[in-house]
Amino acid sequence: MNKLDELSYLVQRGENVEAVSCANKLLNNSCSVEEIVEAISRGLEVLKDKCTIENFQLLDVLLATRAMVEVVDECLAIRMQEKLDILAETYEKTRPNEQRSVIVIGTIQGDVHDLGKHIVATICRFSNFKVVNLGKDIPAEKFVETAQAQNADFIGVSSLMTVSMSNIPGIKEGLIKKGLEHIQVVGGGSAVLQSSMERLGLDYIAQDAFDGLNFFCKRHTLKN
Amino acid sequence: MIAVTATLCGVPVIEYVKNGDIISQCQIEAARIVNSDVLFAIADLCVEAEAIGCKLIFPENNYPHIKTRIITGPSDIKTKKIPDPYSDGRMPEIIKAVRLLKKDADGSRPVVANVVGPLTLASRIMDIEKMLYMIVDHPDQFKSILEFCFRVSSTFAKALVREGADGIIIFDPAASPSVMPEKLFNQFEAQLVKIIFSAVKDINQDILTWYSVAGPLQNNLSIITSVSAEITTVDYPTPMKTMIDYMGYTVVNGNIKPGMFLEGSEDDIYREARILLKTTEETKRFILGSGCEIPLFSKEENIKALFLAVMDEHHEKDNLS
Repeated sequence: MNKLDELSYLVQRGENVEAVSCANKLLNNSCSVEEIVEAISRGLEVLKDKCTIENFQLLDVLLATRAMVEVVDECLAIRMQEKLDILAETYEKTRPNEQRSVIVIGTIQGDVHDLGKHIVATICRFSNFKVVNLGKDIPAEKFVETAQAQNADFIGVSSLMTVSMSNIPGIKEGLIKKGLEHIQVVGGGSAVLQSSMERLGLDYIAQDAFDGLNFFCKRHTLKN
Repeated sequence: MIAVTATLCGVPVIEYVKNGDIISQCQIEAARIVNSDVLFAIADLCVEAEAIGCKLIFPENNYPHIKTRIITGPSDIKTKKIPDPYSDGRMPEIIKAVRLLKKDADGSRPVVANVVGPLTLASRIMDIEKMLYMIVDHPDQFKSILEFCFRVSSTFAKALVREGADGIIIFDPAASPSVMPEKLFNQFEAQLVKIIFSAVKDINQDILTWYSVAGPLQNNLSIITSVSAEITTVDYPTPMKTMIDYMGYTVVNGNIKPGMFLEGSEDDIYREARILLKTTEETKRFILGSGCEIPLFSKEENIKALFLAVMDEHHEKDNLS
């Protein structure tokens, strides 16, 4: 296994300390930032294939995303003196003609579960999306306002509590009122999974974090 | 049925979760409305965390959630005391609900109470993300926090049983197979839950022990056998046939999709219930219910359809015999 493959494997396994050490060694041995980003993103790809709808495990995904974030923050950011935009810059260098899609993401009003949505935000960022993370307990109007202000392509909305689901249709309704129907709304979380796209005014229901990412990637490819 | 009994009775959820009298009244009234078989002396899943010292936010018509976490590391736990079920937070209200329900039900229906499991309690007082990282990075430090949470759950469970609860549910969604691999479940959860069940059995041998984690149980079947619960709730992503084949001496409870009670029709619920009853007809070890909690504001006719399905099934069997 070469060192870049090893980095990819360590990220996939969620070995954060070892992944940072490996990335630093690679950079000291004249690996480029682009090669490191490619390797850690490959780790994410492997995890994406491993985590099926039936076999999703939060801990594995959480550890892998932490390892990726730490490699970026502790190894790459120092070199480029940037933090969150480092991935964007790297991708823009390798794919200059491709326009990044913007995702506004948040947990709907009435629900304070944050972790799953945080993971989706992180893996989307690592997949070359610009992500605006609103946080939790967010009213439908705030999703719409932010999507308009950010010229967003997608809204991602999470709900784990059935009682909060009734606030989700307000997003599509708000978009329609403002003539923003082109912005696609994707829902996720255990409550959303028990409902339907028609009832919630969604364009897609993501079965898990990676299913959501796949949807964004497919639509992004069509756009470009 | 937990706080959905409040919404069935037109009572604000905030009043239900704060008051043992109202819990008791709503449970009795809802049982009369839908003809349910069990009374639940349960408010929400933040009772223990609040009693330890977490500040909560109480929405008017939703369950409370935690505003401030109180544990950032193992040293914080040393400053915390095990809550007294008779004086701390809302624990006394739950105890009051047990007493009132026992008195009002007068043996007609079992009264079941709930404690959150040690892992879920840890995730509430210190945040689930931090908890999961600590389990992996500093398992020995985490054990001291978990030990404290175990003592809280155990102390509360024993008090509820002493006050007359006929059953104890340990609800522990943080131990779900969607969150935690089997190895960590066995390392951090199984033994502690088993000890709590054993402790309540020491007080009352007839107490029902009931274990509930959410998520696809088929990904960690040892949950069924390792904690020695008499009843295990099966969430909707788990095929009931798989559980029937595996369950051994355990009774399983489930597993209609909870969202169907909100968004489905009574026909949907009735049909799903009859399918489940057919799937499980070879065993006596099945209790029909929802996969997780029946949600707040579920339609009354949908809940009634669940019980109608059971009655029709019995009538058909009686007629055949």
